Amino acid sequence: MHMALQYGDDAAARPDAPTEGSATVVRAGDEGFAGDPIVFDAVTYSYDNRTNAVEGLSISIHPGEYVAIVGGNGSGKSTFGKLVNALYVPDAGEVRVMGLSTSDEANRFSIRSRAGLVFQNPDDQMITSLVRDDVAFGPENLGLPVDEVVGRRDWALDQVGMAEMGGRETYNLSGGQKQRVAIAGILAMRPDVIVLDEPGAMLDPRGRRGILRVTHELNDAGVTIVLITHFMDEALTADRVVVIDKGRVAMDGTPAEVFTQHERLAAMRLEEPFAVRLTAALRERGLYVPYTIDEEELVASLCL
Amino acid sequence: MSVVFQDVSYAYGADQPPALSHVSLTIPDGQFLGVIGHTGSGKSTLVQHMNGLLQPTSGRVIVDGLDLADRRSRHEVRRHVGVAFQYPEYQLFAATVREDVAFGPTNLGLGAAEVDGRVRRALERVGLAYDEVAERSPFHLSGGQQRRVALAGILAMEPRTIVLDEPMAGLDPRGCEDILGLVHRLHEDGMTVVMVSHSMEDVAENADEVLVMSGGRVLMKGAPDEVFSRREELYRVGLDVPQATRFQSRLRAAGLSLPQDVHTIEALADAIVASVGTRTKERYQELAARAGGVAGDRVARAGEDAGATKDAGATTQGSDGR
Repeated sequence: MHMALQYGDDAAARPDAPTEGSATVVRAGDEGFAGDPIVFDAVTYSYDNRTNAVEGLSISIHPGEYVAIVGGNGSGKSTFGKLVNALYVPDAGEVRVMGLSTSDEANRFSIRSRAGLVFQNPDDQMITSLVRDDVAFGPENLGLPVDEVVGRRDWALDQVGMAEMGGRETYNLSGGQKQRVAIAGILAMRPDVIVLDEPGAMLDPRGRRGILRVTHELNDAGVTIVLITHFMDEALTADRVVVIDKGRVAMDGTPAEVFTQHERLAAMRLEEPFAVRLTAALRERGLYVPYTIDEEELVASLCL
Repeated sequence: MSVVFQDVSYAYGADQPPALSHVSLTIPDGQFLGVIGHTGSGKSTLVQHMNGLLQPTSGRVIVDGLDLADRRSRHEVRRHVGVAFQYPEYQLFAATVREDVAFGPTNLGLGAAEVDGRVRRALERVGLAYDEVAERSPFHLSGGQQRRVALAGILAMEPRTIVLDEPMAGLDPRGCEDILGLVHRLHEDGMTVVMVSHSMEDVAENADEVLVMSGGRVLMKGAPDEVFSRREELYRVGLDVPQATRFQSRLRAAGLSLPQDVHTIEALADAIVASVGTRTKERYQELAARAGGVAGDRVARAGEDAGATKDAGATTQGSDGR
């Protein structure tokens, strides 16, 4: 998979199989766009013109939010990321990124020149052999002056906790470190929004926790984060959870609102938070406790 | 098939630190062994010794009495020990699912009828309908289906032992459940199963024994109850205990009497009900109201299930795990 090359791909050439795992970055326009950074307006997209991967999907991501997009394989959640990046263009409806429609060919360069991709597999995204060169790659391609490139590079490496690692060879890094370098490469483009498509799927728990921490630090610093994930423990840390099923928004709310709906989640065969699974097992045994995602609260309920 | 490691050490190069140091262990025939250890602990190196793909720098690996130092033994053992590496679907190559799964048995020199029978059986075992997938390109299937095709290719060799390195990695919960169910069935059918996993839950719920690797050595090997009770040692090598184990400690700290150590949600639910008894919703609300105070009030409000979601929204701060 040479997904790093998808930058220049023709969005009309549709791969037969959707590939999972990419991150898309949107940099603020020079025009100082202040609306919702990502807007899906009744978007329908089909890979094969038979079944719709997303169907009438409407979502607005608000500035500064940390949104987790959750769903099973084939739910359409990965298609979401590729539609943001204008890698795919809606068959119907419209995707607007920083106010720019991805359907308008004239906008695509603008959207893509602000877009970087990070993938599920960190090995797919290392372009150069030195960490610092890899992070500088994006801003260099923007044609920025050298001082600016170096400044952004060092800042971005610092943001992901890799400031000391600039001189390292990328192939010597762990999966989690590579993923952080990839995020730094995106940060160096100075995005307002980062969309990460299952960035931790190939990492061990420690690597995943590191990536999650970085995304939260960035969010605290004002970057809007959209995390596409199937790890519920990751989704629990978001401000907002959007569940996508069969290409549509099935649920949209705070983690507590979404994850306490045991029956609906079970019907979609989505993983549930530990406290919800335990509550379901207790109820099956005739011990009533209210559904909660908060383990502290479950302890309190049981110790009444 | 039994697998025996006798004082096995392995280094990837003369100037490299050992990836395995003096590993001795026995996996009895028919066992489900879960292998845990953080990245770099040697667990992948270990499993690659089980069919002779890697050979010990020193020590011996003996499978069903055959010493893998001998080339003929290795050849023989490879027919009976199937190894699924991480992301086995990356090794799919044929134009159709049928050809891919048939590759191994065909290379064994089996007749066309036997090969066809094996392909059908293997696909059925992994939960794929032969008529639906056999003539399709494996690359047009979903990730979870591709993984199952890759496993079918291993099962078509009709091995008696299967070694799986992170078989659920990268799959969504549904895909994980499918693969775990498959591995569980293979074990029930009598196969010896060795499964490397990051998920303490999957290991706690499925394995007969757990092997904990750290720094290329065996740190522990024993029943899940035994291993996961040694929490401090696991933490020290960067491993976790199952969530149920952790939650049990919290309940104990809060004063609940739970004498038996448990490691699965089901066992924990049993233990809690044994301690607390059953409660109707009405009884719960009564108790919550009587508890009073801020905590009681919060619990009581959350107890109103229909309206719980809005209120619960205000109580998520504590669970924010950053």
